[in-house]
Amino acid sequence: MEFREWFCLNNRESFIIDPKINETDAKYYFGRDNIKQKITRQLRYSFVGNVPKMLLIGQYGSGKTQMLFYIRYLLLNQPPSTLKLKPRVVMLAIEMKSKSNHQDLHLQLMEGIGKGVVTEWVRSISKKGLVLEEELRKIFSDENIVQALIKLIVGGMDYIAWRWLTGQDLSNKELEQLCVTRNLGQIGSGAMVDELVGIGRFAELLGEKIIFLIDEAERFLSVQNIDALNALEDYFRELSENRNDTIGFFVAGTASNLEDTAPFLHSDSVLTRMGKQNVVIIPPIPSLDDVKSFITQMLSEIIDQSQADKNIKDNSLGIPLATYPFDTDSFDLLCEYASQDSYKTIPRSIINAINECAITAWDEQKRIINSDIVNGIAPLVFE
Amino acid sequence: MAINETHPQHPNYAIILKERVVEQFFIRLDVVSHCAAELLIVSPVLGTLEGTRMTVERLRHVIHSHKIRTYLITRHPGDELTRGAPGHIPALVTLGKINDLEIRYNDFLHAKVYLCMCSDRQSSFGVIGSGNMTQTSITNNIEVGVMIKYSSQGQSLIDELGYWIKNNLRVRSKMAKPMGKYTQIGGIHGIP
Repeated sequence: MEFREWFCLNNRESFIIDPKINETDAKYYFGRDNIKQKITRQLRYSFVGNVPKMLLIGQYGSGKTQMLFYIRYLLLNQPPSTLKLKPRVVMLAIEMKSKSNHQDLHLQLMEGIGKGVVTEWVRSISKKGLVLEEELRKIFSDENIVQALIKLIVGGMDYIAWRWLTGQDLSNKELEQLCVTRNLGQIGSGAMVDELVGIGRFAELLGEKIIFLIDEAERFLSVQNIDALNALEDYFRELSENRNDTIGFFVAGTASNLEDTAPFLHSDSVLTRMGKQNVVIIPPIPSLDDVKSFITQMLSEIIDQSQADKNIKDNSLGIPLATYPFDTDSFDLLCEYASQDSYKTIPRSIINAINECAITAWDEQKRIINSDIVNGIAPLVFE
Repeated sequence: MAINETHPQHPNYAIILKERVVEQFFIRLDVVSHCAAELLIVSPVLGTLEGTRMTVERLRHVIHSHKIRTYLITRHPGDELTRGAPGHIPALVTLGKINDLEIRYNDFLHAKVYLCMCSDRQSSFGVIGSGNMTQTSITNNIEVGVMIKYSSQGQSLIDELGYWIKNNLRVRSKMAKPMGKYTQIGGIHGIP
């Protein structure tokens, strides 16, 4: 018998919840109904005449990435009624180094949307029988952007055009070939944001709404250069403006509080535009009852309840279905361990502890996780 | 091109290693050891790595001093393949002294994977290739491997390899020494 059958796992091979590995895990966000409600409420409101612009922060393992995947799941499967267009969700873990700047951010956002997608959008306008240049000029005031977008569908020019659109520096010869007067972002981040917002408008014409889910925002802390930090602040300030109603974004990063995020993310210029109600701090799980609720919700979802019920009866395990594969004592014990230090009462630790307890029980060919096993594993995880 | 530098025509998260493959993993581990949180070693055969830049004794020190949670999956000392490897049992004995280390056996093991997961995830990396964790593999054999860095698509490769080792391979392998103080300390199954 395999591990998954031993513990009646529901189409999965472990207790670990990780949407990066199991796509279907994106639908889970256990416990913490208040945060879930806040996010879904803000999500609904944010599409009324605008787009979501939110900052999610929490300590390592608090569930930020899971929340981003959950948001993606909601947008794609249960979109708020206020979202009238098809969401084009772009998820990326941002990468920043000490010498990174707004160009690196823009490059990653554009690459996230993808050359193929933008090219197809440009082509779709042409196919609609509209005059491409005229349509583009209605959206983009910068003629350089118009020229670069047109060249996306010109054979042999597409890669140079894409490099320009993603903010990479071109040679004078390439600029000339592209019929543009300068590199994008040469005079700051404003032109890049204008381009991105324009592409968002372009997407809307074709029935799509672009929403970025940007993870690992703590990497912005690596940026050292003051000019780069200022340009990044300008980039986010422009994106947070009310007049940007085409590009939604959720930024998630590890931090204990707002002040620990990159300075430009919590600057007044960004926060006042984004709205303080759109900053969500994901705390550790607050109380013993919340831990119990988190674990029981999790177990009920990832364990095949009818198989577990049969297993309990067939093997006379004498444990409640709600806590399976833990008996009542070991379940309470695990919850106690998890609640001892509020800093460590985080989903990642709790889930790891459950999985490790299960692997130990499996090693010993025990059908239930007893208190001895919890006493052996939980201190390693929580102490 | 300097060692450990990405080839300009290769993806920026991958480097082909052709020399002293396993040693290069451990050299990099040494560099990031201050932020290394987990070390996953999958190697059918082990050795003491004497004469290399990271002997098993030194590895023990690195794991111990930085409290790196380590999962080692290898073959049983009585297996046909490991019986001819003089360093296998000494390496197990040395590593077995570490509390924060789990050892499991799987005699069908042929894969060689080395992963280091760091608390600042950007520093995480891994090596997959042909090399066992032995001095012969490092100094004599012709081996090849790919070092994967935790950037762009390399992130999902490392995450998935880590998940596979921790949640799939481990439950298909027999426990030889558990992590921490649970059950007997220092007692390694299969070693007299």
